[in-house]
Amino acid sequence: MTRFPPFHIHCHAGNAPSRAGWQSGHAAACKAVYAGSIPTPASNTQGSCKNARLPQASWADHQQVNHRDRLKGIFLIAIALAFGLGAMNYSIGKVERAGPGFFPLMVSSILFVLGVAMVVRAQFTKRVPAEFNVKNIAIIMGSLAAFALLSAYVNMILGIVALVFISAFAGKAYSVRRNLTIAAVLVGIAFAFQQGLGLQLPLY
Amino acid sequence: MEILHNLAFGFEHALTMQNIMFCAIGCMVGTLVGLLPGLGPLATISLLLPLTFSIPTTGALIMLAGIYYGAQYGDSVSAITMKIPHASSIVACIDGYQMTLNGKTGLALFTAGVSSFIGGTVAIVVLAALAPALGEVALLFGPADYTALMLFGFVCVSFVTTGSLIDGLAMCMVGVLLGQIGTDVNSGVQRYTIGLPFLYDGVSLVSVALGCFGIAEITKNLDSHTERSPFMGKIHLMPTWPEFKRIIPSALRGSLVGSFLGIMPGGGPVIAQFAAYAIDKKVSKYRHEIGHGAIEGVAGQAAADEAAARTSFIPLMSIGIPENAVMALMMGAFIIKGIQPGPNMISQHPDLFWGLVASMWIGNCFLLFLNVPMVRYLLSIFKIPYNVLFPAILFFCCIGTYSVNGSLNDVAVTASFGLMGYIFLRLSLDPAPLMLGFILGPMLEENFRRALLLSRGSFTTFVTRPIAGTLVALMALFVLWQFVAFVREMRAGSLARADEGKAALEEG
Repeated sequence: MTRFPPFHIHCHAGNAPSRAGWQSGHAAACKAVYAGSIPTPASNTQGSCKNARLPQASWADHQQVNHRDRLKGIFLIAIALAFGLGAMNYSIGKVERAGPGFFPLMVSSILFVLGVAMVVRAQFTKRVPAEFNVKNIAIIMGSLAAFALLSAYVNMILGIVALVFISAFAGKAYSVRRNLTIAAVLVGIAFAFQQGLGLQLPLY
Repeated sequence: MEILHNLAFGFEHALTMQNIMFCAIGCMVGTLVGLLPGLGPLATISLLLPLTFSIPTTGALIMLAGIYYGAQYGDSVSAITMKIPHASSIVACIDGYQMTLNGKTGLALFTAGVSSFIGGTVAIVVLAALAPALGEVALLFGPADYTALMLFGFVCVSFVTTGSLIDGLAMCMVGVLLGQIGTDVNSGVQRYTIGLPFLYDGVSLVSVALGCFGIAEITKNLDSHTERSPFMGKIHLMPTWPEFKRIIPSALRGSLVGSFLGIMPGGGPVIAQFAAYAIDKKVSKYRHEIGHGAIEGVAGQAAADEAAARTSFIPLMSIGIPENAVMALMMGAFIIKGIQPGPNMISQHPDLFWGLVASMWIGNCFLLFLNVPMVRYLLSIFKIPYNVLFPAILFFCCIGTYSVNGSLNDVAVTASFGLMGYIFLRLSLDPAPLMLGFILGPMLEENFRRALLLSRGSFTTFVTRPIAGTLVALMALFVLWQFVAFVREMRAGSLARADEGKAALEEG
């Protein structure tokens, strides 16, 4: 099975949108589980627009902070440190009688090494900035928080309504009427789950 | 003969009214999910997991399996008609969409439907023949071998799903670490619970899956601003006899390739499709047409896709090690239902195992019906705008997580995993290996600790035992190969860059 798709180590989705088109093995495999990274025409054009500037990538680019390959290494190192330092609080034990801290310490050390490897590798790859659209994720998180808080302190019907109305801000066109319809249908589904499937939902 | 006997036994269990119904629901939901944007099989299975708590075990697993292979199927429909694969039918876009452009949508859909049926049927025979045999081999495995096998699975999955060994492996490790949260079984110590009592039992599988694959995915789709246009063309389904004859050889080849690659660690539908397509391109009688809308280009990969989706159950049910993220989730479902997949599963729960195998064939028939005569009605689901869809998906994520323990804390946990998943996505890290690591993590620790206990703390046990040793050697080869490939790539890259620089200088 090692012979099939022509994978290369440097190919991350989007690292080289124009080179690794969706026909190449790698891009496809990424999408195996990931609906979002689907190669629609639009996302491809977006990629190639950005790519137009890429050939000038130089040493100066590597000095910039927003280098996705490096950022991901740093992010993983942070996770490794959090878990690794946490593991120090538990008894490590001996190899033949491992304590609760032994395994997490080992795994986070491996993760740390992998993170460092990514940072090193980033020195050799072209800079692709990571893009965070703070607005959408913030809206979605806010709607989930509203759902949880309202369900806990008032009731779940209000939670569902708030979820729909807040999350809709992330969509394209905002329409109160449409939101009311969606909320009504979802509340209906919730009732059906409660009555039909016996889920314990604190709806009112 | 024994196989036939066993299959008959399985059909006895699968053909009850209730199980047929669950199978139909699973296939239907799976197909819709395959057609809809923003929900892959991983997210759907985890969404429906809590809803299956009140359903009998066999029925629940039949339904979840139906969702998985149904989604593969529905996905190829949207790939053929609109060139939009949501989960894995990347290959179907090539010839399938080309056929749509040539005005042969109906033929392409018919080909995909029939070949998937053939692929599924072949895979079920392979499954019935191979799983019990492999289960007996698995009884030879000791803790060191299991540890090595899981690590080998990590390496293969990282390599196949992300194309980058380091990235994938790192995500597996993050998953293993997340699996450490909760009470340590050996010592009873609370690990990483940061004083929150609801974390004592660990993070729920549903929370991780819905966060990483549901919520993160929604946000990513919202960011991308792409408009999908629904398919409006006409569909003429029935092929002519010569066209029909062209389907068969290619579908059979695809079934065999798919069945084989489905069993391999890290394998599964995606790699099987590519392999089948590549083989068809080499050996098919009509190979010159492939790429321009040939029947073979659709048939082979569709058969491989469905075959691999089914045979990937073999390692899970016979050895007890899932080979990819979806199977890891299925394993979670088995465990929630109180069944430990592994060598003993077939002998302890024969009704479940054979019932599941038989249900896959029944599901095959449902899918043929859903995808061939009914396909034009299914396509109308595309007219639902995403603005309506995503609040509904969010709602299902919330209800799904809530109903696991009836606790709103879980909703908060899911939301934080959504945030984490979003960061991973934006850093182009694929969370699928994370899922595998998360589910295998506790098992890995258990086996690792036991192996070292048995060997009195000597790590040589992972090299000296024949099975573990072979796997470790293979892993070492993989890592070495990746490293060499990387170095060569970099050399080539820097040479190219130097050339570019020279050219630029000359121009300047």
